[in-house]
Amino acid sequence: MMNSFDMIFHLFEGTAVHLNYVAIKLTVIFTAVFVTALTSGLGKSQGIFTSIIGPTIFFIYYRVASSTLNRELFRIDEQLWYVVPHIIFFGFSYWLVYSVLVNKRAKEIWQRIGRGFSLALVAIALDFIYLMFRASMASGGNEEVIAMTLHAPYAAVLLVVLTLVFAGLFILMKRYRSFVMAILSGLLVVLFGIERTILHGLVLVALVFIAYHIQKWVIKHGK
Amino acid sequence: MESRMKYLIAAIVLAIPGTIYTFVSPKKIILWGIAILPRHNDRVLVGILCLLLACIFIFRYFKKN
Repeated sequence: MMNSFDMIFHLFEGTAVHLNYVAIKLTVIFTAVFVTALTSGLGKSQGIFTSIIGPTIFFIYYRVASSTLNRELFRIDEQLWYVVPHIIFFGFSYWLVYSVLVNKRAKEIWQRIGRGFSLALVAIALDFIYLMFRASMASGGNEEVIAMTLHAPYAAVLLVVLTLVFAGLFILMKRYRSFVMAILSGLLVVLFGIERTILHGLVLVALVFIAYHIQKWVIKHGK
Repeated sequence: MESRMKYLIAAIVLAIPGTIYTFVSPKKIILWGIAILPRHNDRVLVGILCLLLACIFIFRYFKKN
């Protein structure tokens, strides 16, 4: 979720969304959340800590590591103020899972809307990683081609449409909704996506289906 | 107290390679013969992961049960 927010933010902000940096960001975020939860459990103070430490450590990486993109052509989020939106996105994602999705006292309707929104974010992140990976394979690893694969309007429309579709299905359907969600999202990218290929649609069907069941497992065990 | 002590020890142990691989220049790392990976960016990644783990263990050490 955090990575999805991050990629959408960078697309709108005009900074490069780059496969290698996304992979490293994902590694840092996953390590921060996983090891903190493993050693200290889940909670408000853990959420605040991981929300601050993850983006700060990644900012240090940005400043210290040598550039892999041509920074004269592409802007990278290496200014200090970029840490603040990252902390907000991280904190919001943690809050959504901890206070809404796995909280037994949260209202049913907000849990369903929250599930729809979080599943849409996860689907977008996986879709973007797939698209960048495809661009990387097609261009022989050309960093600048990969960085230009995604567009801000595509990200915004996909986020709104998938959130509405998923939240609506979480509210209206009880059975077979994972199949319906997966097929509908696959159909959407075949008709309106960047590649508009059957392969892209099939990959998204599989990714949404897997993401749905991982989310279901996390919520079941988190409660 | 003793069970929390292991987190402090782990944090100190991880902070040393973390600081070296993150902040020491690649030339000095090669000169000292501790370049575990050929690419500078990969060594920095190892370094920041060590620093991240060290920070998490320090948080765990100070956090009340």
